[in-house]
Amino acid sequence: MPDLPDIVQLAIPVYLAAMLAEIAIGRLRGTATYELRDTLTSLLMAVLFLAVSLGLAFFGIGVLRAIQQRWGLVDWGWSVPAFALCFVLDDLRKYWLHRVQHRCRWFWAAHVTHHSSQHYNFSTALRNPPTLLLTQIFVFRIPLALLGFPWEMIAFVAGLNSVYQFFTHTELVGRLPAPIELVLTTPSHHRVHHATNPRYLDANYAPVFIVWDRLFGTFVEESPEDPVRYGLVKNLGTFDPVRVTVHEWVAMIRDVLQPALTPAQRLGYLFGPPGWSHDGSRETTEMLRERFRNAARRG
Amino acid sequence: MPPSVLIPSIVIGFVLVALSTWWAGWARAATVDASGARERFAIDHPEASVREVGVSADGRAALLWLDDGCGLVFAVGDKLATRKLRRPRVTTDAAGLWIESPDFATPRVHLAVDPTVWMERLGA
Ligand SMILES: [Zn+2]
Ligand SMILES: [Zn+2]
Repeated sequence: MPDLPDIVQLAIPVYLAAMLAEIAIGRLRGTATYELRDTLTSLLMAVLFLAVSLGLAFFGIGVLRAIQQRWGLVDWGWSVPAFALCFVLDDLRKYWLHRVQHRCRWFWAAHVTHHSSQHYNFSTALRNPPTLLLTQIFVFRIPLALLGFPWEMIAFVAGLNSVYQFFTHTELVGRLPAPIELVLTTPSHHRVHHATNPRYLDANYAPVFIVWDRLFGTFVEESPEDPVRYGLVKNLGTFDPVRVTVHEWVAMIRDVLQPALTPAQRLGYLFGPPGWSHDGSRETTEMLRERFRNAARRG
Repeated sequence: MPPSVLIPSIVIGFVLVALSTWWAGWARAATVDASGARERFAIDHPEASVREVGVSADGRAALLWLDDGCGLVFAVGDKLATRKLRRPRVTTDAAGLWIESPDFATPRVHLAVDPTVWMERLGA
């Protein structure tokens, strides 16, 4: 096995330089790209995420390693094509994981933290949910282990993938040349993903290859007529890192424990789409779009 | 990179980012006036029909009297957030009223508005 560098660790100085450059450019242009408490919350989330991940990742790694060693279908070796294939397939599984994170409340409860800022800058990229590993998302890596990719290769390509994603979190870059926009996820695509405008909701999930969204029908183009508003459809009223991290878990548990619900309704609150409710008193993405359409019709 | 180097570099880097944000002057709280509150509320609730707006004297929040209840616009850093209020817990003090929501992600919001007018509209 080659000696693989820890890509994310190597990228940390680059991340810091990118944030400082983004602040300096914003200041020169006179646009407030950052906000102090928002930034502090994002940075604190990054530290908490790192600490929790380091503490809990061993379990997932152990499971994936055992699966690959026992049932791995192919011995891929350590060639460049093997890395390339692993990178593409990892991106495909991340597309589906990300789609599930937006359409199933159990996963959304963790992922919502990443979307909770009303700002969009490089620090937003670091606003990762410390509770992510609670949702056991490592199970989405099992297909790669079953295909025979060793854990070290999966971790290496996942590191590259997350470094790429970091750089899509900026307003400094407009549209890139058409061939790039066609194949790769660009800042413009990911801005749409972080938007609360009804037409942009639940779109552009792909971390690196936007072709997955084009292929599976979830691609939406950024439009100058509808400037992106960032955050959540019901924005948080707090920067408290504990509340930012656990608010959706608290809401979900309260919903599940309501009296007089059927078991299916309790499961609906856990695994249904965000906004689902047993009595229609909340709003899913589809209901929200309908409300906005009706309001537009009434003028 | 050993943790003895990695951790202090992350801490120093993060402090630099926070200081630069502060130096850039991006630590000011948002304020709102009546038309700003209407506009912001309409973004999230385009169907709402607003009868009257009461802006807090400090400009940090506003109450909206709607056809079907009340709404709230409040500052979150340099941005604003909105809520439709459903039977909120309301208490008063000498300067106005406090609105508390059971929602874990909504803070207690203080509004320096006339409590006698708004308590009734809030159904409190
Ligand atoms: Zn997302
Ligand atoms: Zn993102």
